[in-house]
Order: sequence, then structure tokens, then C-alpha cells
Amino acid sequence: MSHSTTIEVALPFDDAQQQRSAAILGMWIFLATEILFFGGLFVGYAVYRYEYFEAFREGSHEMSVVGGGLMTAVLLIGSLLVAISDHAIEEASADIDQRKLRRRLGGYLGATTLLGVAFLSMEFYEYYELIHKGLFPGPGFDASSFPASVRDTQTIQMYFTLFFCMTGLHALHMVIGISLVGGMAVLLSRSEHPQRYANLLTGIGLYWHFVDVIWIFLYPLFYLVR
Amino acid sequence: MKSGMMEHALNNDTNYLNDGTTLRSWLLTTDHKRIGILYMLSITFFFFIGGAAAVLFRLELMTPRGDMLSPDAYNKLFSLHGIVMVWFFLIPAVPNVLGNFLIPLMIGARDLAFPRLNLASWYIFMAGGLFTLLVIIIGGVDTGWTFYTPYSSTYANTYVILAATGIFINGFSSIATGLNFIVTIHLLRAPGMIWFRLPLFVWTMYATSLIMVLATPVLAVALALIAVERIFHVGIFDPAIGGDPLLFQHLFWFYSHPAVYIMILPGMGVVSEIVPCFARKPLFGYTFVAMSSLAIASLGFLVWGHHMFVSGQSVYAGLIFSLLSMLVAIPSAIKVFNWTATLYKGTIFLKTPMLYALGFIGLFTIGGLTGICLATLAFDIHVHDTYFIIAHFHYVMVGGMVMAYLGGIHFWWPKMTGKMYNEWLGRINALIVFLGFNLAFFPQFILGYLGNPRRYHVYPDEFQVFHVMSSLGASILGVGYVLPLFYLIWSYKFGRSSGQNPWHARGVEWEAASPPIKHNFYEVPVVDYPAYDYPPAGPDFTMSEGELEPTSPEQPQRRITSSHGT
Repeated sequence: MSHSTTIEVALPFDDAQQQRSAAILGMWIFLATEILFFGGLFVGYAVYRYEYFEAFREGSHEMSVVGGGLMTAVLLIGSLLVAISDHAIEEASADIDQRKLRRRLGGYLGATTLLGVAFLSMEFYEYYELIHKGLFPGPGFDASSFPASVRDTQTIQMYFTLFFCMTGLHALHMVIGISLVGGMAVLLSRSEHPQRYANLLTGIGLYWHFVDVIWIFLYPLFYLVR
Repeated sequence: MKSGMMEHALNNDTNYLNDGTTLRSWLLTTDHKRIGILYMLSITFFFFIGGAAAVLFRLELMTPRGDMLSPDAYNKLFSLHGIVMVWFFLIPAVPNVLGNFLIPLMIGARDLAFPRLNLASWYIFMAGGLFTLLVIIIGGVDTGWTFYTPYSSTYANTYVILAATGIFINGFSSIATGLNFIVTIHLLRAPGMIWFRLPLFVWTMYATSLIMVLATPVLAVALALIAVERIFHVGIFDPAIGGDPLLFQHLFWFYSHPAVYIMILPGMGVVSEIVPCFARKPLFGYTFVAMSSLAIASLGFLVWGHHMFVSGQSVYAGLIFSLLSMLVAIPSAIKVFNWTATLYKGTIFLKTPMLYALGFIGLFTIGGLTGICLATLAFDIHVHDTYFIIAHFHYVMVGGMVMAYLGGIHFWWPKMTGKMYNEWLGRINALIVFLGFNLAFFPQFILGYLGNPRRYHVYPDEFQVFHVMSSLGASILGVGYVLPLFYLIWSYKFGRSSGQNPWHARGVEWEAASPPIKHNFYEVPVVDYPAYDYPPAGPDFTMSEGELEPTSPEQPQRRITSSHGT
């Protein structure tokens, strides 16, 4: 922790190291709550997939594997850039050229923000297509293109209900993540001493990776398993 | 900075209460003690709202006919009572009031790890509470506190979404508090305050925080799914289009059973502090009591299916849930036996906090033992959804948690305010609460066993005598809850000064001034002694009005040294 001189230690803490530990531990605990939050939906997925196996198979044929794969790749590249920025800010020594550090961090995080927006655009385009085909669950749901076994029981709706609920909640997290990473890009590229915000960047980075990991589970469950 | 603190030490008049007296200084405070007080005022308010609902439906139940309330109004009242009492009183009661106030003091920290998050949690709590009040004002909700589907998702035409939103918002406050406590207990312990020197109150807060953090999100998602189903008319829980209503019960109880332990573990922590102090003995079996809290917290996640024995879940699942539920009795009994063993050959002073603690031990034992009855599959089928359940969980939550909360408030009142309340009023009130409580809820065991179902505003004539007893008990209990409001406030205004440590208690929190200064300690305490190091001597004290008086002037004094030697 070569940059401890530039960090103001908040009241309850003894030193910068303790403050950093608290920030990171707090973030991990928050992510644990997030896992349980999504966990309820994953349990729902497991229950209904077990009960309505055929409906889930039919439903997943409506998804574009290539499109989903592209979205996954976009997210993973963004995560890599966040990890690189976090590494850069932590490893930078106190006498590093601050201007250069600012430019690098702003570039990495700005690119991540754009990748996040690209992901959301692709996802919303997919929503648009599904809604256009009448596959948004609810009273207007159009099951006519599906085999009778899943159409007449309406079980095909459950696949799309879960798809919209789970990817929708993920998209909401993406919106929050994009705002946070975008905010960091602006903040760090303008700051005199970007290293003051190392804890903040690590925390936001952890959140961003978490949102990615959720997608890493959603992609196979809705697109790949047929 | 250190020398500034020393100068502060000379000025005995400054404490957290008078360090800023404007409304702004309270509403924007980040001092954990002030936030604890804010929570105390808020939950007292919610407690009396939930209590008022209980008064109304207990009045209605005085007669077997529905002559005061319509069935709808009755349903709304018991739902309101459950929702407000569970989420806006019981869950925040000890953690957010006493935990907030005491954890940093007990572990020798200057504040919680994230003071601003702590303040935010109060605002989130109030936002959730106001949503719930809004629901009451515009017409209420009639699903019961459990929001069972498909009634709540398909049929109920009351304000389900709004009520769920209030609880959803409140969940964030729970999570923020739990997260703050865990980080604080991990990282901000004073030098020498190793894990096994922590007071057991802190251990129970740690276990409670784990539950808050890991269970609350599941409730949030379950309530969110109800809202989604009602808004978009999709069929997540609607069997007509392939949904499974039982999935909701699984998700709900995955939160709400652990949440039951959020509502009792902190009470156990309070009792573990009070009993050694007024028996003048170290707590018996410290390690076992500490670990039993973690055992209760972990087992709590594995027993939710015992709420669903008659729901049609698999009988094999029922068997396993039954066995696991009975296992919870082991750590609970460890606590009860160790408190009793602490009393054995102790020098017992029956002060107000001790009366509440002893009441807790007895009533919790009844609540716990009837819990084992209910964990038994065959017996549960007989009494499921009857007053037996109501009596059982009120013995744990009211006889247990509310008694412990009141005991804790009386025990730490001198710490919070520097004032001493009237000891005789305190003791009489403890008796009123104990008697009123038993009269209110013991008849409900009999009612339930005889087959009176819960949640009905009418009942067969032969049950009337028990219902009248219950309503009488409830009104006595009401007196016992209103009285402290007056004598505690009176003592804060006009009571005599308590001194720093009127009970000669041994916890680190008593090393701070009463009331403490803004950042708790003049110098960081160094802890080189175990928790509850009450001297093994016999009657060193006499009981005087309010305080314990040493019979010999030389009581062992604790030394405080600065960690930095400056």
C-alpha cells in the first residue's frame, strides 16, 4: 500500500489498510445478499424446468445462440478491462505520472461503459423481437406457434416469464453497473489523485464482475440447454 | 488529536446526547448511539400501532359473534398486526436499537464500520414504515403477514403490492444493518478483544446479522414475484397456467423461518448479559453459548419445511424437516441450561432487568418446548393453523423477545441516558407484563388444542371463556407496555443520575462514560480480561434503590490503557 499517504482515513478506522479491508469485506457481503436474491429465481427456474422440461426445450429454440454468445463475449471483455484498471490503480506507485494513470483508467472504464451499453442494446433488441412475436407473457401471450403439449397447458409461458424476470433483473443490475462504471470513468479521468478512489474502484469492480457471473449462468440456462 | 481528546475528557458535561441539540443534528447524525435512539423512537411508534390493531381484534374476540368488526376488517387488522410487529418492531427491536447502540461500545470501537450506511438504513426503514402506514390509511391488506399465494397473487383485492413494497424497502434496511455489524465485528475490535472475549450479546448479533444478510434477499425476491404476477398477469404462482403456489411458501419460509431466529437470538444475547451481572458470576459455559448462537443461525436455514407439513409437500421432506427442526432444540437448550447453571450458587439480585431476564428464560422454555411439539409431524397435523401456533410463537416472540427487549432497555437505560428509573415501578411493571402475558396466551394453547382455528372472527360458544381470559390478559399486558413509556421518559427528564456503572457490570461498554461521549471512549480500551470476569466473591453488594452498592469500598477497578501510548 504505497499510496496510503493520499488516502484520508474515515473516522472508525485506525489506518488505510483497515479501511480497505472493511470496504472489500462489506462489498463481498453485499454480493452474498445479491446471490441469494437471484437464488430465489434460480430455484424457480430449477423447479419449473424439472416440471415442464418440454416447454423449456421449445422455448429455448426461440433464442439466438449466436446473439447470446456475442453478448457474453462483450461482457467478458468489459470485465477484463475493469480488472486491468483495478490492477493499474493498485500497483501504481506514488510517484507515477498521474496524467498517464488518469488517461489509462478513463480509457479502460470508458470502454467498459460502452461495452455495457452494447450488451443492453443487444438484449433490448432481443426483447423487442420476442414481444413482436407475441411472446411476452401475460394475457396477450401468443402460443400458437408451439406444439399442442406445451401450448394447451400454457406451460410454455413459464419459460418466457422466467426469461423476462431473470434477464430483466440482470438488465436492471447492468443499468446500475453501467452508471457506476461510467461515473468512475469520469471521476478518475478528472481526479488529481486517482489512487484516492482505489477502494471505490475495487468495490465497483467486484459488483461488475458479479453481474457478469450472473449472466454466465443465465446464458447457458436460457440459450444453450435445449 | 489525542491531546484534544484528553482535554475533552476533563469536560464531563459533553456527551452524545447534548453534543448538538438541533433537529438537524439528530436527523443527519452518523453517531451509532444517536441512530440507535432514532430507531428506538421509531419502533416504539410502530409497536403501538401494531398493538392498537391487537386491542381491536381482541375486543372483537370477547364474544363468539362478529359484532364489532366485519370479517374483512378483522382480516385486515390481524394482517396489519403481523406485518407491523414482525417487520417494524421485532426484527429491528434489539439489533437496531440495542445492537446499534452497544456493539461499538462493547468491542471498544469508535463507531460502526459504515456510519453513513447506518444512517441510511434508518431512512430506508422509515420509508418502508411510511409505505406500510399508507397501506393502513388507504384501506389495508388482508392476506396475513405470510402473503400466501394464490390468494395474494390472484384473488386478494386489497393493497398487496403496496404492503409488499413497504416490506421490500424495509429489507434493505435489515441488510444494511447486518452488513455493517458483520464488518464492524470482524475488523473494529479493540486491541486484545479476541473473538472469545466478545460479550455473548455481540456473538448473537453476529449470528443475527448473518441471517439478515442471507435470508432477507429471498423474501425480497418472493415479494417481487408476487408484484410481477399481479402487475403483468403472468402465472408464476398461478396453477391455472402452470404456476406452483407452493413455490411461494418455500421461498417465503426460507426467509421467514430464519427470520424467526432474528427475532429471538438477540433476546438471548441480552439475557446472557443480564444474568451474569445480577447473579454476580461469570456466565457458565461461555464457548458453548457462543457457538450455540451460530448453530441456531445455521440450523435455522434448514427447517423451513416445518411450516408446510399439511401443504402437500412430500412426506419424506416432512420427515427430514421434522428431524432438523427438533435439532434446533439442542443449541436452544444449551443456552437455557447455561443460564440456569450461571444462577446456581450465584448471589442473585432481583433488579428490574433480572426480573425480565428470568421471565424470558421461563417463557422462552415454554415456547421452545411447544416448538418441539409442533415439529412432531402427527401432532402438528392436529394443531396446524390453530391457536396453538399463535400461543407457541407469542411465547417465543412476546414472552421471549419483548421481555428481553424491555429487560435490555432497563439494563442499559443508565448507559443510554445516565439516569436511573424508579426501581419499584420497574419491578412492578415486570410482574404486570409477566402475569398479563401468561393470562393472554396460555388459554390459547388450550383453545388451539381443542381445535379453534386461527384467523376467524367468530368461534363456537364453548370457547368464549378462554377468549375472554385472553382478552383480559392482553389488556393487562397493554398496561405493562404503556407504563414504562411514562416512567422512563420521566426518569430521563427528572430522574437522578445513575453514575457511570450502577450495576457494577464488567462489560467494556461500562468503561465509557454514561451517557458516552460522541466517539465513545476517551482512550481506546485495551482488553486483557475475559468477558464476564465477575469476581468469584460472595455478597459484595447490597441492593439499594436502583443500584447495587458495594459493601466494601475496594471493588476491583478496571484499568484503561491507551493502545498507542501517547
